[in-house]
Parts: sequence; structure tokens; C-alpha cells
Amino acid sequence: MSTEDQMSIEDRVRTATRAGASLIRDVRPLAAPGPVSLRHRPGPASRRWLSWGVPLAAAAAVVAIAVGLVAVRQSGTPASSASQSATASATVPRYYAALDYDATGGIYTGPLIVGDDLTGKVIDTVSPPHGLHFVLVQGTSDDRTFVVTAGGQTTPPGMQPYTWYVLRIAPETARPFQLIKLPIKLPVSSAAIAWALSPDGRELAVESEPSASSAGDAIALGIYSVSSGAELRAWTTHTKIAQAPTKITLSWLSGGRQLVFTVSQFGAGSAYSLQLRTLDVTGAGTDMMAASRALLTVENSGPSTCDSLQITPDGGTAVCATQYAYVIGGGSNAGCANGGLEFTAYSVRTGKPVRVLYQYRGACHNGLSVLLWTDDSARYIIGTTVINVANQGGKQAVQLGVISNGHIHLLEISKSVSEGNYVIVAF
Amino acid sequence: MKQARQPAQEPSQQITALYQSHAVGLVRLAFLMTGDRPTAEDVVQDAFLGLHRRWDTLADQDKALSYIRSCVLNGCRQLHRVKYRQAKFRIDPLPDRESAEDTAILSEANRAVLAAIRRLPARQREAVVLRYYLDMTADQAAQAMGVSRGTVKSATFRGLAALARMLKEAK
Repeated sequence: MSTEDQMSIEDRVRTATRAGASLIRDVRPLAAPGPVSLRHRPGPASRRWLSWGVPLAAAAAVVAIAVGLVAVRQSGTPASSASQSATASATVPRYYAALDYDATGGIYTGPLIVGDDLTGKVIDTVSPPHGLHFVLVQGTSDDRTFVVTAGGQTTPPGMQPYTWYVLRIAPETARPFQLIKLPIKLPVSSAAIAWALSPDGRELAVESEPSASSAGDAIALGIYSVSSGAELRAWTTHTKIAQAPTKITLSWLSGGRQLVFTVSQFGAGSAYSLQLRTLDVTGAGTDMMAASRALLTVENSGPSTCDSLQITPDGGTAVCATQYAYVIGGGSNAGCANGGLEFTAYSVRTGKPVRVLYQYRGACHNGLSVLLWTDDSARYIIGTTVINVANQGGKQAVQLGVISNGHIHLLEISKSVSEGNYVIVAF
Repeated sequence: MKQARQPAQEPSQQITALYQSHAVGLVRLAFLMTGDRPTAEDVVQDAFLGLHRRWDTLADQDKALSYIRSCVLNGCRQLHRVKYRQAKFRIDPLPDRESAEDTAILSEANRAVLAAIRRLPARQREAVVLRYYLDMTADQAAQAMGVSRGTVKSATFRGLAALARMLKEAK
């Protein structure tokens, strides 16, 4: 007779419920009360609109339209309290901006495509300023503002000099977009490697490295005023914190006081660690490492590694997007099918993986996953997976979609954006 | 007089303190009801947001915990009613990655009991969990569930009988 057989049903319930409940050891912070929105709107909307001279009436109309257009992808969900939460949780950015690089030259001279991922339609195309081409586009804390960088006609992506623009879109209005040049200039010897617009839209944080070996080896992090271009704060470090091929991320936490940046350190062989560090932008000091503190470190080795580590706006979770044999090779179909390619949520508090957001389960020779957007706590993310089924020259499958609870729901991206560029679509 | 009232942030501070003290316990309760941690956290967050909205109208703010526990139970109940109608994003969620420690804690026998509990009708599940996980008396469970003491006793009896049957069949 087993132990279970000897226990009463009451005792079995007691034992099992306590064991099950003990799996919950921490919970995420309480969300701020108010209308549930997974995007942090930058600052008071009215002030931002006024700042670019839009009449109040137009601003009100845009806000009304925006409310109507927020993408709720669970139409018909019953209106109970729990289902309202589920519906709100399904609110993902509706608008995206994308570039389409020329595969041969690596330079895109065409327009920026602004699309609606609910309908698949192109909302508008934004031409680059005269004499420049768009280099990269990045999402901000709402789906109507993007940071765009532009360079000279011969400047390939990743090289200086950049000119920064803020693109604000107002779909279905008389003036569907505004492209505003920012008066921010980095030193000539610096190359920007990551940047992020603050939640209130007033400051741009830029991480840069020397563009030439003669310029020293210091990594710099600066905060610039969007309105004046003035450098408001600056930190530097001589620690090699941004080493290829790991992806560098820079982001603001919701309150606009903390910046989170990535530190990559290589060990023996192909092993490396990715660390997220937080920096209080109101704190003292100018040494980027001394003024910051480690939040989370992920150690990597083998064919499947964390390719990028991105903090969520609430600061409670980090999302690791893995690559499988994409960088160093050596992959096998079995490895890929057994979870080599996935998006994993880590608890910042415990430093441990807490949830597999999505795992590619098919066969592949190698693959890459890229995080494009995350909600406040990584309940919903938007990501791209690139799957190479065979060796070079073989078939490649790319999918871009909303990821939640282990599933990916593909978004409607305009045919004007080639699948190969799904890894750089901005939300 | 309006000026004599507590500062505006005080309810938020009280609710935050309540959350810090009881959120883990409430998420555990919701987790036992729903079997899904993210959903359990959502339900608890919703309950606290609801509490925030109704704070000023609570007759007895000292009973906020009882109120919120009822909200959590109600949230779990609502969720079971609608879960099959939710289409796009909530289909067969991939289970959370389980640590070796978790695996050790949750033996096969415990898993079977938890799975069986989740198959119980909502009222029976609530009654069984409140009585045997939270060790509530029938009167306390009745108050939390918003039903009579007799209903709790009968739901508990039926729930335990159903559990015994399910576990026997599963062998």
C-alpha cells in the first residue's frame, strides 16, 4: 500500500495544495491604478502636442481616434473583470515603422514605411530628408512615436555621423506624421551603439563608443535634451562592456529615473555573460560602472545562448531572446527542436528564469529570436524568429508576431517590408 | 470637511502595504484555483485595482483583506466561465519552466491531486481549497464565498468525494 493510499483525502488535499502553493515565492509589483495600458505614454499628451503647435481641437480629435484605434485583439471577449484584464493585456502596439535595407549595399535609400499591424495596410511612407538616408528606426514608449536615425548617402548602418529624428504619427488625420529633427550631436569621434527616448519624450539617452582606435577606448553614456540638444548628464567607462557579437540594449524604466544597459563579458572559449545594470540618472558620479549596479546576469555557453537581454518597463522582468547556432554554428535539427530557440522571462529579483514565453519546437539548422517590443511585465511581447532549415542557401522561415503563453500570433506586416527585415521592425 | 481628510496618497499607501503583505498568499490561492501563475497574478492585480477604486466606499477598511479575498475568488470564478471563449492568445499555454526544486516539491501524487482539484466545479473547488489549504472554518469559508454555511459543507463533502473518485480512476 502506498503512502497516498494510507492518507485521508483531506490530508492529500492539504499536502498537495501546500506543495503547489509553495511554488509561488514572489509576485510582480502592483500595477499603478488607472486605465490599464501596456504602453507608457510619454509625458502629458496635451503638452507634447502643443509643443509642436497642433491646435487643441486637433489634439483632442487625435486622442479620440487613438482611443478608438488601440488594438484590442480579442474581439468579443466577455466583459467580466478577469476578461477585461485579459483584453487589456492583449493590447499591443498597432502601428509599426520599418526600413527595408538593400541586401547588397546595406544602405536603404527608400522611405520609412509606417504600417498598421492589425490590417496589414501601409499608413504612410516617410521620405528621408534631402541628402540623407534612414539608418535605423526604434520604437519608444508608445506606438505613435519613433526615433529615427539618418546618415549620409554613403554611410552604412552602424557608422557615424547620425542625425536623430523623432517621428510622430497621427493615423487618419489631416497630418498623418511629423518628422522632427533633434538638435543632438555626438562628438565626431564617437559612434552611437544604442539609444532610448525617455518615457516623457524629453530626453534621449545615447550609448556610444569611439569610432576610431585613436579616440581611446571609453564607452560613453549621455543624456541629451530633445528640445535643446544639450548634454544633460554623462558617464564613461573604460571597461569593455559592449563586445560583439552580443546585442547591446539600452532602455528606460517607467519612472524615467533609471536607465538599464547591457554589459557583455567574454570568458573562455565561446562562453560569455550578459548583465543588465541599472543607473539612477539623478545619482552622483560619472563612472558608468561605479554609478550603476547589477540587476541580472545570464551566463551563456554552447550553441544556444541568450542573444539579447531586455528589461521590461516595470523593471521586474528581463526577456532573453536566444539564438541557436546562428552565431557560432554547430547546430543540429534536434537541438533546435528541443528548445534551443526561445524567449524566456527572467525574474530580476531572483535572477532565475520564470517563464518560457515561446519556444520554437520545429527542426532547424540554426535560428535567431529577436525581441521587438515588450509590455510592462513581459506578459505580451512582440518578437521575430528566423529559422534556417538547412545550410546556407537553404530555406529560411521568418515569423513576426505577438507572443504570449507559449504561442505566437502573427501580425500583419505590409508586403512592402521584406521578411528579412522583420528583425528590425520598430513598435 | 474635505481639508480634514487624509492625504490623497494614503489609500494608495495602505493598498500597497496590503499588497506587500498578502499578495503572495492571494496569488497562491488564485494559482490553486486556476492552475496558471500568470493568470493568478492577473486576477490578484485586478482585485487590488478594484479595491483601489472602491476604497472610499468600503464600509470597514479593516476588512479589506476579506473583501479582496472574495474578489480573488470571484475573479477566478469569472475566469473559468470565460476561458473557453477566449480565442487568440490563450490557447494551451506552455507551462512555466520548472526548477529542480519545484519538481522535487511537487511530486507526481501532488500533481494528480492538484489536477483533480482544478477539474472540480468552481464552488466545490473553492470550498475544498478554503477549508483544507487555508484551514478556514465552514463559517469563514461561507463568508469568503458569499454563500451559506450549509452550502459550504455540502460543496466540501461533494468536492472531496469527487476528488477521491477522480484519483482512484486515475490510478
